[in-house]
Amino acid sequence: MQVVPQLDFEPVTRKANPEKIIRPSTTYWQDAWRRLKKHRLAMAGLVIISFLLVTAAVGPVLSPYSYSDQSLMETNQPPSAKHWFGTDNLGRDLLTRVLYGARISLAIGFVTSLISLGIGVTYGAVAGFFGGRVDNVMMRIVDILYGLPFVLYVILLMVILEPGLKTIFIALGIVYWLNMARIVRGEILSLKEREFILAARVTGVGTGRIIWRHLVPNAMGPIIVTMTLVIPEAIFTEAFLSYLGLGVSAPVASWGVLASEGYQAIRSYPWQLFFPALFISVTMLAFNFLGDGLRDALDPRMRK
Amino acid sequence: MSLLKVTDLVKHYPAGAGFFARGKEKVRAVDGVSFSLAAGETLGLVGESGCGKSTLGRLIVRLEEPTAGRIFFNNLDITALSGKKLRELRQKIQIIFQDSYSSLNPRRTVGSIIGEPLANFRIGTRKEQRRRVQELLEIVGLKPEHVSRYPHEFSGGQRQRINIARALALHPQLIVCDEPVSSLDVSIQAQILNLLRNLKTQFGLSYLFISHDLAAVSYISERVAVMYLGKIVEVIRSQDLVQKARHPYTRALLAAVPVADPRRRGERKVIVKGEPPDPLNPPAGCRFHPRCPAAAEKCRTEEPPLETVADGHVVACHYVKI
Repeated sequence: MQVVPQLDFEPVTRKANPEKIIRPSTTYWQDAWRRLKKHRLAMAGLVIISFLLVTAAVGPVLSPYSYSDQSLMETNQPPSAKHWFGTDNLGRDLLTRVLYGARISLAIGFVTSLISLGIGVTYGAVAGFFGGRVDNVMMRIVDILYGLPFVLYVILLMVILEPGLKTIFIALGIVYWLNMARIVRGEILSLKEREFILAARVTGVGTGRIIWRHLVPNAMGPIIVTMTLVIPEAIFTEAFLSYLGLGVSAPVASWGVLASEGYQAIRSYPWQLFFPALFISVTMLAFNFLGDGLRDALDPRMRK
Repeated sequence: MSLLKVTDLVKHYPAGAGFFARGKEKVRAVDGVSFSLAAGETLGLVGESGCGKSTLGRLIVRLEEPTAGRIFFNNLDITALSGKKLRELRQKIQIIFQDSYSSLNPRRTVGSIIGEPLANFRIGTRKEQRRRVQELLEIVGLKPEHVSRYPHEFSGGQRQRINIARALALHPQLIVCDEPVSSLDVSIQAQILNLLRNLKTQFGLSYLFISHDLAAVSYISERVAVMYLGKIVEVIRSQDLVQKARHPYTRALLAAVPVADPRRRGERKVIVKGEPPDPLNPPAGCRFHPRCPAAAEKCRTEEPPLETVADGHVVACHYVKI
């Protein structure tokens, strides 16, 4: 009995190289980069930050003026072909000063963020890993430090150390590692219960290696996001401190110092405030957009 | 001579730990367990969720500290080993977990995951380690070119093979298998069980095979220990399990195994009512009495000891016929 006419079917020969349907192997970072590229605002932020970094590096070198050269014949000039951003009350070229200020402000942002990375990750990882009483004591210390008004201890530090860039690094570093420590601790607390950590312990991995090779790399996403978000905060805080006269000292200029000088002449020479303020705002926006994008890209669970 | 011997092992967890702990309530996860495991033997450990079987496994690999009792490995008391000696022991006892994905570091390649034990104990040169990793991959049925892939690129069964390869890396004598097949498809389960059986004969391993699946356990083990609420209630040879098991709880577990033949359904039914009791305060007397179809007055007051009823068969029940 033939149910199916034979002619309707013909045997298929198997191709030597069957079509591949698995997607190419991607690592976590390749995946994250792919997601980040889709985030327009984050990419805009990244471009702005790169541009700022380049101009801060080469701008003051290419400029015919130096940040401290005074020209008393040309005080308070409005923007012109000769001085693109105008000059200040001592006849210093504002563009050069703003670009030079970018170096100081960006340095403050990055250094603070690195300090918070170093102290915060270590502290948080230790608290989270050991847990129990160690964790309790360590995190209560963080809570107490969090509760102190930070302007107070910045002022105290300024009294003890001489005012300047180093003091600002220390002061901001002390403040911003707290947040990092909390975030890292939370991540480690949940990660350390995962079975690959137990498996690592059973195969004889030491405590230090478990923390640095297994736990921290898996918490890298939130760590990077936190670092990115610390940078604009630090820049802004420095601007605020400069405003109070606690910033870097003349003739060195950060954006905060420039804005505070410009503010005194806001009625007559508004560009002296406008340009530094513009740079502060754009930088903050750029970093915040990038941080948001990174959060979405590195930690898909956190996506809003 | 027994490879592993456990006597009166107890693990209590403080309940409601934290700032406002209510004092001395304890979860009695493992409450006085004794058994031994001969070299080359596989002992199955069955029980329902929360009976403490996984905790027992973790106590044996020294991931948890026992509250009381002793663990002997090769006649050496390992209950309180620490530091260097514990590290030495790590080479001999390994564990395979249930969740094959969670037990692999997602940021590491398979090569570095399997090679990590070797790197830890500095076994051989880098080159030898790399060769050993490839050899291990082949032993567990994966391809050597998989070394540079990441765990998420594998299926559940393949990931469990990676876990097995890591456990084998240090030539252990005992592997605690903590529900290694429970999260896999039935067809894959059989493959992994067969792999474990082959590895056992190939390398002279011993297993403590923890599962809630009686079929899988009796397939792979020589003896089966049944655990209920932190205690072992019956130990029996696998081949005798179906015919000779005596404890009402074991019988109930056996009756709960699905029968493929519809004509035989409903033949032997032991109905166990209710949930397992709260391990915070287990019932007095026999722990199984509130759910036991044969419970009598004595069961409510007196705890039955484990008694030998036949060669290699122990039961803790007042009313088993001897």
